[in-house]
Amino acid sequence: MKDTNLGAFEELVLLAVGSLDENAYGVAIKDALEAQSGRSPSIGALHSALYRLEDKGFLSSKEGGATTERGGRRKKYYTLSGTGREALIKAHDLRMAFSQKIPGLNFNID
Amino acid sequence: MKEQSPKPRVQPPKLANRFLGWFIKGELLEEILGDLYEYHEELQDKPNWKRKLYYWFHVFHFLRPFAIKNFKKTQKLNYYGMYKNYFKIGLRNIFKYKTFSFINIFGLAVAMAVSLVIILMLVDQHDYDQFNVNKDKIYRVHSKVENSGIANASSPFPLSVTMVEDYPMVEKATRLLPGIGGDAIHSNGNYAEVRGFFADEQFFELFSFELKEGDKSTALKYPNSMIISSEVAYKLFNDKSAIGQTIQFSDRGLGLMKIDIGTGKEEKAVDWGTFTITGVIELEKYKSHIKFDMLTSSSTLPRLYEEKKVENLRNSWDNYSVCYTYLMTREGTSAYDLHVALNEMAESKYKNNERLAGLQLLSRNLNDITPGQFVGNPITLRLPIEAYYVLIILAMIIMISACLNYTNLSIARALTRSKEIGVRKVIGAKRRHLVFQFLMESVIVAICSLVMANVLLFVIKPALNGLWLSDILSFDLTANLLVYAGFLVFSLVVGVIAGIYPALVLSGFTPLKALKKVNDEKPGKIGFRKILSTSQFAFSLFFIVSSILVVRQFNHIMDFEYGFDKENVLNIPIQGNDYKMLQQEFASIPGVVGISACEFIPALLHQNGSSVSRKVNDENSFNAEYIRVDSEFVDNLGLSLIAGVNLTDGITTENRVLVNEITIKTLGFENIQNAIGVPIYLEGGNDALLIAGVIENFKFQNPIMGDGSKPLILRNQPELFSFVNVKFSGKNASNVLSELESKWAEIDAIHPFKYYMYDQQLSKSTRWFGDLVAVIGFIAFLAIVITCLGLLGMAIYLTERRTKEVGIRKVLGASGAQLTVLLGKSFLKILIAAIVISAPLSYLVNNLWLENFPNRVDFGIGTILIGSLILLTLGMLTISFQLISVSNRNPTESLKNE
Repeated sequence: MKDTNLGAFEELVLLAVGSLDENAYGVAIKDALEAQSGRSPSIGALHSALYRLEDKGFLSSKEGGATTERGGRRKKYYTLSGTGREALIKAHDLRMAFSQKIPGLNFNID
Repeated sequence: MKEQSPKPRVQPPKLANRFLGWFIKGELLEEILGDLYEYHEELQDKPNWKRKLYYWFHVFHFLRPFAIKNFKKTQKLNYYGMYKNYFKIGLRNIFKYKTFSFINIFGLAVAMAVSLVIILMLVDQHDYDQFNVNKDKIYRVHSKVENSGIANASSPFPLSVTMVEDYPMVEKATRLLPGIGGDAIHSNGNYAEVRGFFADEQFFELFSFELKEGDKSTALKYPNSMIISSEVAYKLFNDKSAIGQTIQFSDRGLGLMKIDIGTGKEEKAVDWGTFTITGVIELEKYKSHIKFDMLTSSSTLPRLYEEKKVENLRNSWDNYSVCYTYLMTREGTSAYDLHVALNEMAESKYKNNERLAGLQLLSRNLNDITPGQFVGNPITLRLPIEAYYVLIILAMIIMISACLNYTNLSIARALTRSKEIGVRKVIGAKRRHLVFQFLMESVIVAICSLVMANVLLFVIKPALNGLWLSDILSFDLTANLLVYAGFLVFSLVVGVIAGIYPALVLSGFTPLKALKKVNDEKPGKIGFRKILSTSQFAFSLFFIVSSILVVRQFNHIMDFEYGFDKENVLNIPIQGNDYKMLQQEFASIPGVVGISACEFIPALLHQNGSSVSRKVNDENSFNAEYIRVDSEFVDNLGLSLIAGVNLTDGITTENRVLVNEITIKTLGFENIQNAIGVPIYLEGGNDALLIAGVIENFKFQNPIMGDGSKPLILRNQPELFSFVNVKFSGKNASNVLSELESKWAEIDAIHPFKYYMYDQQLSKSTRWFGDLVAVIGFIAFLAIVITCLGLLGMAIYLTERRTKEVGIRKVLGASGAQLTVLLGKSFLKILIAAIVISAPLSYLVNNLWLENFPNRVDFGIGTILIGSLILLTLGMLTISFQLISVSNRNPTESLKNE
């Protein structure tokens, strides 16, 4: 059975892909991560995570439009797969369930 | 709004991309590169170096397991089979074209054999002094007089001490003082001739010699101590222990080198007293440039100074040829530091010295002494590095010639292989594969040659050891495993050099052209190959001319007319005995017809020049040869007195001299008679010498060193004599010899009887030149053989290719002779071009060396013409058989043969 756990960085990448919807490819994901979390991963680390996530089945990809900035090379667009969405929800639920058990920690969800 | 012109697009660093492409999985490359490019674009506001740096940073971050490609898997494929195929095809090609393979392999093998000998020589020489632990820190100081091209291996006596005192960078120093050589005599009657040095205690601190017996820390400490070689120890004490034994030493001023053809002059034996043996050293174990039979402690010197047996040069900076100085520098001192220090030293000592101003003190590391640059006054005679350069150049010419043969023949055969090349290319071979294939073939050929060269070595080595020169230079040409490994690498390099050009040309064929067998080479046009052949023949002509000249010069020297009787004359070194007594004893022997004595034997290697003038301190002096002889010398050697009287014995007549006709002419006398009784002065001295008589000119110089037409002065000074010349009637020579020996034994019980036949001495003194002739002749012969083989190969190939043309011409009516001329024309052109290029060159270059011989043959157009003729004949002979056989072949055969 393949390891389908979600690491912290993987979760962030998955979130970023989801948030970018149709426009999630390498550099765009990196920019989104930077904007949201302030973390600036190396492209290598990002690709490594994407590769793993695709391998786990959380992401699916297709190749798309080339631009001059890329030296005429095609982009690889990623989209969340069904299991990807499930994994995100699971991770979120897990976090919520746990954090509510912490006394005095109030998340103010109205 | 300001219009901003778009910044020119800066490309990411190419090297980074190539690096990425090298390690990344192929399927990921496009996406990754794309992202990296885009990222690079985003950074365009940053300075360029920063962009580059970031780019590299991200590239390096792809060194992760997921992205790195599997290096192992991609290479395995079927390369083994491919290489095996190359190897097989290579071997098949060698066997298929046996003539070509033979020409290639034989030529390369010969050239390699010569190179291997030189490599062996260099390896042997390089081994010298390597046993010394401190070899990198030890330097010998050389002294070089201003305006002299050659440095001396020796240096002034006080140098070593002063250097240690004045410069802390010099840790230790030792000094070897030559000039001690004579007889060591044990009380049991055993005797040994020993030559060596005075050495100080530091000797063993610098050099890593070990003593077989004795303690090396004290062996040279006390006065009158002596360390001897185990060989000498055996002579003196047989198998008994030598330590603590005493010997009587009498010095005869023997030089360090034992080149025994009886040329040098000997000094009288002087008793130096008793010495104690404090050490025995096994010299055979050490490969050192320092050779000796004996080392005597320097602390003995004060006593010898006092007894006036050795000249005290302890404080003399003027005499720079007295001793050898070795300095050991402290850790971390560079050669340059020492160089500067020695410069300072020379500056301070010689600045105000009128005679030696500008004398340089130079340092030479121990590693660079053997083999090293030529120096004067060396401790041991070794081939200087310059000689190796000449040998290497000669070997390289042969090697290049052999490589050119390979190149030439391989390109010539290109057409036969074009189909193979085409097929390989169509199947998918890249150019580099083909290059590799062809290189592999040439390497196979080179390795075959190496095997053959090693066989040839077995023949060359004994021949080389047979040369007289190698006796003196003492080469050890045994190879070890490392050397063989070196040979293998060498042959690989040769293979690649020989094969690279054809490999590049052949692999460049386009498949279409190769398969269609398009021949864009016209039969008459050879282009590049023509140039190669021409240069080969140009070299050959040069070699032929040089060989002819060397042989002629050799014969000229061998046929030299000395103008005195050299047959039936024995020269006997008196070895410290009284010459008068020897003469008296020898004269009583029946068969002895004349006896004389002299200082040194004329026309051998020893010379003694002196300046001559008619007044004291005259500016107009000239140089003359100055030999001390007795009154019988002139008659004994068959010289003729043409004016005045002969020399007579006796102290009162010691200032009388004989001169030759040239001296008279140089002194400026028209009439010989007028010169009799005229005083002359030697070396600016005050004592007048009177001309007693004039002798006919004779050649008193060795033919290699001069033509003997120089002024000559003979004077009777018995205390300087060191040879007795015995002339005997030729009938019972062996009888005379045994009589002489028994008479000698009566007078001198210690030294064995030594004698030299004068005519043999003379021929031996020119023998090294004979060796040179042999070596150059041999190399020239090889070069010519290789070139002719190459020509033969070309002739075979080109004529075979034109058999059809020849057949058609024949059918149409051409005669065999006409066809031979047609086919031979292109070769003739090559030969003529070679002659035109090489004739003037060989004239110029050969004149360069010939001019160093004062006594030389005429070298004119004749020699060049003969050489050219030989080259033409050889060349034409080589190809004629092939040409004639092809021209006379029945046309039906060649035309039928498709």
